[in-house]
Amino acid sequence: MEKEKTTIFDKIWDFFASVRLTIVVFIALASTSIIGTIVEQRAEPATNIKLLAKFFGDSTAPTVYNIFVKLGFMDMYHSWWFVSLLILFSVNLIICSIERLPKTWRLVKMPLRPLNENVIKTLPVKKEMSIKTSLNTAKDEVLKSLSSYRYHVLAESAEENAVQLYSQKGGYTRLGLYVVHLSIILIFIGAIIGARFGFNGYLNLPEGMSASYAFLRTEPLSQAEQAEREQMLDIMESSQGDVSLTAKNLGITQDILDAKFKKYGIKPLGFTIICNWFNTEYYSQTDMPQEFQSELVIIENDREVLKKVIEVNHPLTYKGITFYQSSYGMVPNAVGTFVLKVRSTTGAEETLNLKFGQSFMIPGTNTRGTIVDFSPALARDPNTGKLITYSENMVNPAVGIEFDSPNAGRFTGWILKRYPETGVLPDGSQIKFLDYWGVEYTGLQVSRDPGVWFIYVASVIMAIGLYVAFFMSHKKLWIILRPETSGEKVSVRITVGGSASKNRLAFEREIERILSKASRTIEGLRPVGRE
Amino acid sequence: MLPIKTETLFFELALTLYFIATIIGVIGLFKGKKDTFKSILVLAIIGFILHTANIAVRYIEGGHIPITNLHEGASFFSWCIVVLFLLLEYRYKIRLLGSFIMPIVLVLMLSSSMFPRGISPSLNPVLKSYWFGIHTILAFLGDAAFAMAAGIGVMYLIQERYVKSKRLSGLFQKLPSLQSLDEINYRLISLGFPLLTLAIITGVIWANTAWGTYWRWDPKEVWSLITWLIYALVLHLRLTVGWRGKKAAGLSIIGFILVIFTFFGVNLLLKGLHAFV
Repeated sequence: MEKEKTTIFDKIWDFFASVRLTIVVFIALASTSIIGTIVEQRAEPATNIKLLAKFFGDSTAPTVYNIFVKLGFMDMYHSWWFVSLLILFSVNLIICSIERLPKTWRLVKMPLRPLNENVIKTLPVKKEMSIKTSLNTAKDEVLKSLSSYRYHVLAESAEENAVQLYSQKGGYTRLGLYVVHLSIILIFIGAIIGARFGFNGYLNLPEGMSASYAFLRTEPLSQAEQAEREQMLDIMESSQGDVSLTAKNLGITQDILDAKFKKYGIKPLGFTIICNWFNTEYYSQTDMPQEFQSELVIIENDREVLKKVIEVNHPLTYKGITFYQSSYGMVPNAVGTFVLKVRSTTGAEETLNLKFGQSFMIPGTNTRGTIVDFSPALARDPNTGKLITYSENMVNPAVGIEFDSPNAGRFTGWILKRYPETGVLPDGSQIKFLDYWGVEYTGLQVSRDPGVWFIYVASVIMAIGLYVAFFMSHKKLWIILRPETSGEKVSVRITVGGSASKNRLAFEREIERILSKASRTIEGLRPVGRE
Repeated sequence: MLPIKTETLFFELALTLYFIATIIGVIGLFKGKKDTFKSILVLAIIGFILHTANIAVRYIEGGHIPITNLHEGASFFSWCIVVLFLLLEYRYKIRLLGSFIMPIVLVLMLSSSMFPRGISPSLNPVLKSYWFGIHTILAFLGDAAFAMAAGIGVMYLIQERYVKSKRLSGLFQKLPSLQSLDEINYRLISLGFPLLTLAIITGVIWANTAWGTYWRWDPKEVWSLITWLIYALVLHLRLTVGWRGKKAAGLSIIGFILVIFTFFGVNLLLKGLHAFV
């Protein structure tokens, strides 16, 4: 025999096709992944130095930290060696699948042949029974029962004094694992597309403000750089988000502008987004947010093209860019507008937008109100009984109004947004504190991921592949029907042998059901010699 | 007298019954009669009914699946294990399986009883999604299958020692054969692995609608990925290298330790996006 030549290519191929590599890569991926769950990823250096000091002591912690940084541990899932492991994983997966697919394909396509009775008796699943009937009846009933279990007997062979039936089903289920492997590759492709063509940024947008960009994470910037960034953003806003106009107004080429955008983590959206309002709803009597919502408006070419109230789990998507409600907060030093709804005893209603210090009249009365105080989170101190502001966030906003009425005189009251009953005046008229508008920002996660559809499709493919691979199997069976005569009685001995690519126990039960179905239809039958 | 809430009563009674079932189960290993497993089964079923009542009450009071803190999570986890145990017992009638599963259930229930038990009707806005139920139930069922596989793995290792030492009496006679234990172990892993995969997939879809990124490498995600890799390894070793029997049993126990760490360890030691409460 000619000895096969092993070229370098063969050696490389064999290396990547080996299961040993799979095992090594699995273990390497699993064990190195742990690092990133202990060391906080992409965190401030101080956080991790503090953590490391617990293990290595204060003096050595900075040194260890620097070594860890060099090893890429601080952003390890994107480090060169972890990405290399993932590449190795995919190459191994692809080559292993290519290597094994032809063999599996042969198993799928291999025609079934009749087997010798002795061989049938050595198969993993076997059953034997005897039925008192003629050969033809037995054959008909077994065939009927088989086809009701979707075994199509394509061929039968007549042997001396016996008939052999054989069938198989689920050959294609052997391909299930390749489907799973394919889906994993699709996930990687989706992830690469997302990383290459998508972005993941954020935007903190105050109520009533607009922006035509989102921010990406950057390296820390110097003061001069920050100043330039602010200036660029201002000019971009005045250019209504038009990138070429921004470049023109800045007096630089678009290439330079793009480079600066990249450096400063500015991602032009191509349209403008406005936050009309932001609102938080709380579970009654608690400060646990139940839902937070923002009304967003998309403006393109000076036209409103889309308006939607978003909340957590319900984002807004426009031109492939999705805005997710992710956080909220207060705008520092912002001056807002008090939105009040005043209803007189006669039922006349009026919505007012007022600044701090402004006055208003309650319709139909001579009562004048003046806004004199505001607290983002008003509560009564349980110890002193005094009113206090317990949070800087708008957890329980309250407006302090001084009333001046010819009948009741002058008095001051707090009206709480979350407790409308606090706005009922002695004369029965009511003031609802709707909002202190313009002081909060909505925290948006802004992202575009053209690869996500690959992920979704791959997920469906993977689920199907897993079902086929784990819950379906390639089953083959052979049945020999042999007439026997003992004295006057005529009977048929049925010998079944089979094999399943997995879940032998279930296959065994299936064969039992097939046989009992056949025997039940034949009268006066009694199983003999069950093993 | 202090008023005891009904759901607490249900929980304590279920815990007590599981405790008795465990004791009988462990004693049964050494000197039980042939029908010991029947009394374990009866106790487990009554305990399970009470446990279900506890979960139902918490569901109604809270208005959502009670799995938002570690008390509820551990309790729900053991509930899933009992569901699977009863199904397996019904299907395969493995004598003495309870002796190996009930201790796992008991340990989980005891740890559940040590965490604060408040029912919180307030749900973090992120959790208000239908994926909440789908994702978590898939994950818990997968984990329950892995717990069963580990229990079967322990049975395998014990039985294997008897076979090796050729002491073919006592416990050996009560335990199922090595071959069936190995096969059931494999069946359970090939049930748990697709469930874990589906849990990760649904988590990915949910994360994408809630946060705009389907994978953030947060500790819970990474640890479930590690668990997934280990069980993928177990399956590959079995199907290609032929690691069955003792090695497969050992690996299924290691895998379950990872599951437990992903469940408790990540919540208690590492922080991340999944820390909602």
